[in-house]
Amino acid sequence: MKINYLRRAWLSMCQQPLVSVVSVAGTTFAIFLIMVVVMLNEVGIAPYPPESNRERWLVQRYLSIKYKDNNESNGCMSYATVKAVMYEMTTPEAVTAFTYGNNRVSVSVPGSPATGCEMRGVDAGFWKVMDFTFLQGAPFTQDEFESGVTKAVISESMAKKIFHSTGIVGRDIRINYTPYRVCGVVKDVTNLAPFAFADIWVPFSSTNSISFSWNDYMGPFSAIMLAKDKKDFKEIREEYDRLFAKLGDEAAINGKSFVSRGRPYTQKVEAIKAGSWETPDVRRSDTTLWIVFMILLIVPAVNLSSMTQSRLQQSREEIGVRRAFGTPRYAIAIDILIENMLVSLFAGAIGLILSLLFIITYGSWFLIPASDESLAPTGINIGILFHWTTFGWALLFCFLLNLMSSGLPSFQAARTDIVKALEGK
Amino acid sequence: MKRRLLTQIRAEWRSNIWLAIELTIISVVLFYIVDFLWVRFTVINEPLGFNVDHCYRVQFATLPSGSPEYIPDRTAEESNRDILTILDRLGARPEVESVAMGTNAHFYNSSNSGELLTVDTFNTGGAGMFLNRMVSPDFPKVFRIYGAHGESPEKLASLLENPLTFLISDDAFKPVYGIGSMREFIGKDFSTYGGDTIRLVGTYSPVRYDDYVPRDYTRSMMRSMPKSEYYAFNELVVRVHDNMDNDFAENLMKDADSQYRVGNYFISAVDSFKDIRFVHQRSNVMVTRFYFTGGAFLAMNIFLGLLGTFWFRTRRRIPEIAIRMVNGATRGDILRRVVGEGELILLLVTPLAIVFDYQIVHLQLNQPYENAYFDPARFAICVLLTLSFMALMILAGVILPAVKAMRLQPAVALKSE
Amino acid sequence: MLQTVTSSDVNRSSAEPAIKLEGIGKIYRTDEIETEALENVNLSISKGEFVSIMGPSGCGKSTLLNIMGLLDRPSSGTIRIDGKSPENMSDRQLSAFRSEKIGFVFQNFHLIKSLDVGGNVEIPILYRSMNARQRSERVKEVLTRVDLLHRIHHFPSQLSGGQCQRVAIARAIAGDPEIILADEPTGNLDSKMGAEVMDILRSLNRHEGRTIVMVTHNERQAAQSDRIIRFFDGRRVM
Repeated sequence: MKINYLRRAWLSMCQQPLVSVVSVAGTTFAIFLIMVVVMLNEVGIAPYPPESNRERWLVQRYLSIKYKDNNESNGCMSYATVKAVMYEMTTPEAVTAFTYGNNRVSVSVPGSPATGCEMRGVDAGFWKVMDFTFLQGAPFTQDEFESGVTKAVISESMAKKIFHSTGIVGRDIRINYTPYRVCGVVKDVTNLAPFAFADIWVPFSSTNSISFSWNDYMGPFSAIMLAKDKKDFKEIREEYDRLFAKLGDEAAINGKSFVSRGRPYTQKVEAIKAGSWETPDVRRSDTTLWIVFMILLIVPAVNLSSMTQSRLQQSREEIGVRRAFGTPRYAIAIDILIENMLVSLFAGAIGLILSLLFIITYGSWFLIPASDESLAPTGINIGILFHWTTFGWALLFCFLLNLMSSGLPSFQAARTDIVKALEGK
Repeated sequence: MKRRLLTQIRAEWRSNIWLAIELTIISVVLFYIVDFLWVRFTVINEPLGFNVDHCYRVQFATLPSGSPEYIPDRTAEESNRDILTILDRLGARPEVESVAMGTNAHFYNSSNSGELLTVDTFNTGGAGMFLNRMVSPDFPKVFRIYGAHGESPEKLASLLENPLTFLISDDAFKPVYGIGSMREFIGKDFSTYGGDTIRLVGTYSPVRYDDYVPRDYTRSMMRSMPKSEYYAFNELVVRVHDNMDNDFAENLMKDADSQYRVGNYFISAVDSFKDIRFVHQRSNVMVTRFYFTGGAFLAMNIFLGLLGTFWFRTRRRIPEIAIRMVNGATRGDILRRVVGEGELILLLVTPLAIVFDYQIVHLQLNQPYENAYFDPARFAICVLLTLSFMALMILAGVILPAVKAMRLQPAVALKSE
Repeated sequence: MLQTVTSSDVNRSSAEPAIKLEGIGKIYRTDEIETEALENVNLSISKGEFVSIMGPSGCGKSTLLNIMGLLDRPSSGTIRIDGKSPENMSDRQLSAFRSEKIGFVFQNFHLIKSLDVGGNVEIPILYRSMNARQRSERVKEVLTRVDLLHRIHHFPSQLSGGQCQRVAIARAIAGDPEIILADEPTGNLDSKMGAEVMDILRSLNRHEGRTIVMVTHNERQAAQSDRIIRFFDGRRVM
């Protein structure tokens, strides 16, 4: 029967080529646009190297403090806060703290002019939480971090820019006129990755950030807690709450209290990119997205529906015959839905391919790098997009579109008056 | 002809209902997009009040204490002198026209400071933003800001030479008090929120915050910053001579080590305002692109939908068309009738669509700033634009089947009847 | 207006009739006009009978056939097929009943162009509890019966008119129905092909005992049936 449906769908399309082309084009275009929206959205949520562990981590980007006079401060955390909470945790598989936000530094080697690039201060746990590909060398260790060693991991393209080679492990560079030694070279990281992106990674213990703070609790750091499994999230949050409560008692002595805002966040919530002063409204974000999807579906569905209706008029005779010979109504309706589903899937596949090509070619037009002030070009690699959820979404939307556009017409067709259909009326 | 057309439309109401629903939905969504883009377009085209061509921001950083070149125990006065040295050297560069310092001052800035100024019974609060730009005197020269009454940037610069003085945008009291110009307040002393007293020494033409914030929404002041308060974390902005702006950033970086490493300071980055502007407005540009794409998508859908529907419709009407031709209708008549049907359905759904459009406007989704009022002119323009656009798409979708119908040979058509 | 009686006018009324119509009327209504297609038709057709229905165009013959075939509901009166009334049947029950009891042969064949011969013949048995192999065997059986097994994979566009009608007959008997309703089965065929089709119909009646009701304009073909019923203006006249 499956082969039958395929053949029937193909023959039915050949019978009216223009309308079939229009139907396929309408579906293709709708799926194309929806998938572009899906992929742009997924970039913030789906895991890709080096942020491959997004599904297993909880993020604390900001901290919020309330004062006795009800004023608030919102910003990243100080080293003291990180040490008192995140570094004390035992439930996660790994924990990392790192500087958040741009830090443009001047990097040079003797004999050549300085180059500006973006530096991120990280700890040793960073390399466990993230999934970098080391082309050479290795990251600095926990001991080295604790001793504030001046070692640097550098990206492949920055290595080529500064040294005109990637064989540079062990060589010296100057970062802000401070000598560092290169200990590793990694594959480039897209500047869409908000926590991993940089050109150079150094232990933040080797910089001033470790001592930079205001009002004791705030500073330049964000943190990520990596769970062994998503099931551990509850336990991690409990441990986090306990440790933060302890810190909160201490802060209360000076009239300060912490405002939780639901932190830490899963990557999905984090991707909403709420400001430090607000709690992310997951519901609103999801609703907005679905409204966009619905508009992108409803408009072509109404379109395709009227075309399907007209196309089905041509099949009335056939429907009449089948009904005359005992085919029940539900069977007629299902047959029409399946046939149309095949066309939808075919058109949807084309739409998906087009959307992938579009995103790869023009995606940077529509994507804002995670570090807003970055002038580095936005890179999208295919690895970000080829995630099973992408295909799942495409299939779902094909199915929805098909249902919305063929559902009513097939229902109406199944109720065709047999006699009128046979008489061609 | 219209009445008969209406009769025919009514007679085929079942299939026309689909078309009507589709056109209504698309019309409303398209209106939203057109309205959004219209607001954007009008705001972007308002005069900026400043010019960032050939302007650069030079970022300085402080040596970390771990650097072998770090000079410990540098006093605030010494650090200040270092910065003044750098400024002088920059100003002496042949390409450089003018140099200025500022705090939350330059344009396309993600940081800003507010202020509340009071004089007599008036104050600068109550409407939109009022920005406080702490600047060195040459700031108006760098960004070519003109006085409200034609004063040159150089004149404004000279007015800012004295400490505890400021310039104000001429519309500062307009939205709340309806005072068109601040001229009458020149020479008066104003109180700041922090308790300082500063004197108004001049007014300038309003400057916008960026390309996407409307003129009415951002009033501002430029307050003179004494030299003793120049620090490395301030913004340093430079204007380069128009005819000498070739690889300025690269050349400056090349000289960074030899000429601009003073005390504990060094140049960490030089950015052109072209790039700064791009980065600052990136998300707005993206959103505009999205809306544009959405609009194109809708247009494509109208086109495809109408093509498909009218293809069938015309085929079904072949006998009717043949009979009309036999009875004297010209090919032009046939074409006009087919096209007219599509456009007439559009006209029929337009009143309903306008009702929905009105609701959308009242949701204030597209207002460029808070507390905006309903603008009948903007509403009318956007409704008309939407209607025209849809009429065009209907024409495009209907024309192929219409031309096909026009080319029918009556005898052939009647044979099928 | 003569009533033609054949020699095999046997009283078959002792068993439950295959088709029984009592007081059947059919009115078609539009916004302003009412058309009475049938008026007070009473008719009983015994099992195994071959009946022809004749009358001028527009006299209601096809309407009558549609009502007998449960394709259309009468405006008044009752109908019983094999003693059962379809009045309170759901769509599913009606479809199953129709597929089980009745086969149709149309003047225009009404073969589905996008299905091959095998696919067309299979339609009445698609929704029965038969597996694919059983259905395939049945299809081959009935195609053999009409001498078209060698065309099982051909499409209607590749067949002659007579062959199309034979496929239609095969389709009509695929579900092994007791009753076959044929609406001008030879109307679109030349005399030679028409004769072939009539042979098959007669054979289905004589050798397999199927009840056949045939609408026809052709007196000679009508004479080959057991009984002729004549209609005029929606009323049975003989």
